[in-house]
Amino acid sequence: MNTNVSNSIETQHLSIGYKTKKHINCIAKNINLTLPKGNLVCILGKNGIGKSTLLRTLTKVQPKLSGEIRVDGKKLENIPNSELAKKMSLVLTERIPENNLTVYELIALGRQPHTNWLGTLTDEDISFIKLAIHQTNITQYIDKKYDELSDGQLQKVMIARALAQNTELITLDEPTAHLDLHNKIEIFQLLKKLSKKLHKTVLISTHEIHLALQLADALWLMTDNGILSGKTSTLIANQSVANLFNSDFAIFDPKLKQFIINT
Amino acid sequence: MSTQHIKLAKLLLLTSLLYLISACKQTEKKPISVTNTNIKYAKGFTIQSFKNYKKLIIKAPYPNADETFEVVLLPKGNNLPKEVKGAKIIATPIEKIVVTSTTHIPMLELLHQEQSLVGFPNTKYISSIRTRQRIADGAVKELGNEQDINIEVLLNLQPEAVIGFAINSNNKMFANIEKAGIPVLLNGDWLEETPLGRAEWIKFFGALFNKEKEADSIFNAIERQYKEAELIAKKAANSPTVLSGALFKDVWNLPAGDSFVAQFLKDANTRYLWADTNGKGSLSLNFESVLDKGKSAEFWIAPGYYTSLSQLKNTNEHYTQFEAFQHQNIYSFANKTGENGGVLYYELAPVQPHIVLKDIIKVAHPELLPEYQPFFLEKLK
Amino acid sequence: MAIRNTYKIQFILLGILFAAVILLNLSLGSVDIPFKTILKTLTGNRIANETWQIIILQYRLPKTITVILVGSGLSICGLLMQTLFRNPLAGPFVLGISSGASLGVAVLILGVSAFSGSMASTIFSNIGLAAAASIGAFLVLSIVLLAAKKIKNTMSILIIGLMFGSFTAAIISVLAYFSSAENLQQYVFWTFGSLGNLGWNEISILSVLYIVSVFFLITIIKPLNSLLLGENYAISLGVNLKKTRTDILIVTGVLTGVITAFSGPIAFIGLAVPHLAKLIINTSNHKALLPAVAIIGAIVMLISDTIAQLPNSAYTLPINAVTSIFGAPVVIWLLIRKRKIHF
Repeated sequence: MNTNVSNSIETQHLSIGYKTKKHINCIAKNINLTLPKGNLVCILGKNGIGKSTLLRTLTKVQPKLSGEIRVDGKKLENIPNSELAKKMSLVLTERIPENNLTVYELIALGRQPHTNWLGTLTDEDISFIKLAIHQTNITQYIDKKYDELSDGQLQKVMIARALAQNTELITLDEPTAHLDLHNKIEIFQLLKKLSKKLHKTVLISTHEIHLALQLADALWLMTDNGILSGKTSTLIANQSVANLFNSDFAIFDPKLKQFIINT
Repeated sequence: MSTQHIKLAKLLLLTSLLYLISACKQTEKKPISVTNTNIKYAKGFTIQSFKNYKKLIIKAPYPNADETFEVVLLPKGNNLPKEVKGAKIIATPIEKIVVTSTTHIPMLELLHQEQSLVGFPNTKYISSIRTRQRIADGAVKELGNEQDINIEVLLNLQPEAVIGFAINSNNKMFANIEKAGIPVLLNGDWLEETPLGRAEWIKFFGALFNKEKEADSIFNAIERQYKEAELIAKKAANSPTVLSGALFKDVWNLPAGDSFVAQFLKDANTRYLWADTNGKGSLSLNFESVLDKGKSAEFWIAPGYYTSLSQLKNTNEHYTQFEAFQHQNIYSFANKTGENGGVLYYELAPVQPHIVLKDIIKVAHPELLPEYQPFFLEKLK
Repeated sequence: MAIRNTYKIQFILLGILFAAVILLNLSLGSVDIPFKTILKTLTGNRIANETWQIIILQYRLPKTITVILVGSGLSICGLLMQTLFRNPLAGPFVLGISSGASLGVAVLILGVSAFSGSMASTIFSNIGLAAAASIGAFLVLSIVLLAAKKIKNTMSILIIGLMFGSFTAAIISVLAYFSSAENLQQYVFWTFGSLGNLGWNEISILSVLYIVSVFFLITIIKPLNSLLLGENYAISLGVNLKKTRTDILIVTGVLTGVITAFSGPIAFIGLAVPHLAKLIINTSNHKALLPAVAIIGAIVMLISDTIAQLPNSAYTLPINAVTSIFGAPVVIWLLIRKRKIHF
């Protein structure tokens, strides 16, 4: 962790999208964002606006179109995979392939960047694994097999895996999509605690607007006209949040920080 | 000179003559020291005689071979001469042999050596009655498939030689047999271009059993009868045209101009319609070109594996367009089979070329051999 | 990565089974040799019947070693392919390696007669079957590696390999159409697979390659396990995907290529044994799975070869027939019993 750098991620004139041989499909351009360390930041926006694309580009899962991305001060393309794995961990929306691993083994895979060439787990590794299990509250099914888990249980397992990786930056793409309200709140509270108490930087792309508004330090709002970023309170105050989802059916109430349905 | 002197002189003369004659005979009987034995027609092998041993040289072990194989045939009991140390040695006469082609069986039998056969791959193909009896008695062991001979059974038999045949230089199986200490001789008789050349390979076997003399006389008899038949055929008034082969799926396979069958047809004084083609094997032609050339052929000899006219007709209606079919002048080697269903021609013809020739002459020029009954060739009904 | 359950019991049982099947394979053959004699010979004593000594030491022993190396090697390659392509139907032949080897052999055996008299036949007549097969196999491997460098999508490599299989099969059928019956028969016999014809030289080559591959694979167990989460997660865990992919392809290509060159294409084993192993050792962790697959592959191959020898008869079955005829129903039965397919 580079203590001289205050931003976990920085982008300059970043363009994201998809490139084929024939043409370029630009989803968003001229993106200039900063992700300060120790913050919990949520990416919000309508379906299909490019939230996942942004997250995948920032985490090197997908190539950028142009511009610059810096992680911990270094250009993203110059950081070797093994080093990047110790800086950031991911929770993706994709389903992992069929396999026969137990929950414990799945979570243990999160320690790969830290273990030796054979992947042997030291006591330290085991303690991180145990901690992650405890934090996500899944102790009761650590011996279950992958194909015995419900979607919600699996999602918590994948979060626990990222936690076990013990990186400074954690990025999550729709991490609570399959969880019930209780679990959703539990996860968001956990992530908030990680950023507050352990100074981890957490970047979440989510549809949980209400939880985001309550817990995020800053928001990145993706709209058709670009990305608005700023502290949560600021974006609420200047109507940016309201403009995001206001419609004939629901109006934003800044005091309650909620969208109220028109009846 | 007195009468007594003349009588003495006559006696002396007679004695001298007799002595000279016997001396000449002796010279003929004396083994030739360092010259090749007389191989007249076969191009695939030769035998060189030395003082205490012989050398068998196989010049054509497989098609397009650019290597020859030499084997030293050392009579049992003789010391190994210095000059052949390191060569492949086979002690003669061989008492336990394995052969791999049914054509080798009649040659063993003619030399009265069939009891030396201890193993054979695919014994079910053998037609010879004597050998079938030995198989039934368990004296000849089954060796599996000739492409994949059962090494364990073979090793257990410990034969003194394996006579194999190869189609190319890839002979992993034989190499492994040799590694196990059993000498392998590649028999290339099937590559000979002339029927007599092929039959002459009986001398190859003769050398292995120290029965060169018998082999020679057997071959001489075959040669004589073959030549006689050839001369008889020359007397024919005309040379009938001949078609051969048959369709397999869409391809008509027939003997090429330099092939075995084509030779017979030539020596029998017939006009084989594909005699001027090149090749020692078969040609693959399409039906139209064969019909075009062979429609009016007087005789159709060796129509593949067909054994009856109805079989031909049912397989392909087009066969009926040939005049030879319409006049029922089709003759096949395939009808004559042994007790196991094996076609006798394949097993016996190589060592009985004179019979094959006479069969064809009888069919093409029946008037030349009035009392002769064909052995291999039968008219399709 | 942890192995919670070290599967000790399973491995011990497998070890015992392995030893037993080796002895079985050595003692059953076309010639009936008493078991005591076999043990005596193997422990270095001379026995009365010299022929039997030759059979055991020069024929059965090298064959048994070949069977172990082939069964183990192909199974390991099958596991690698299934992990890399995340596809339970993948086997060592999906890269088209064995198709390449078959094409090399077909050109040598069938092509020579089809192009008889041409330059090709003279050149080829001096190359052995194994060399021709190797050339074909490595040609395909090079193309696949080249493609892997250029193509990002791993699935595309799988499809390229499969297309190679079809392409070479087409060429071989054309060659077969124009060749003579004897040549065709020789080629067909090669495709049956043959484990008993290897000399000590070839066995040494195979052993060395196998041992080197195994040691190398131990060093990539970690990325193999990471790949279980899919390529994106694997990359986020620090895996160098291109390097790992190339490593897997090279090991699979070389091992499969050499095995096919020496013994012909052996069907089914590479595909089925990883599934069998997962049924016995219920995990996806390659730390346990690799050794399991290696030993189970050897055991299955030994059993198949023993059956193929048709003990006490002169005839033998082609090894490919045995592996498929006996193997397929067994795997189906086991999977139905367990009622779930997961891999």
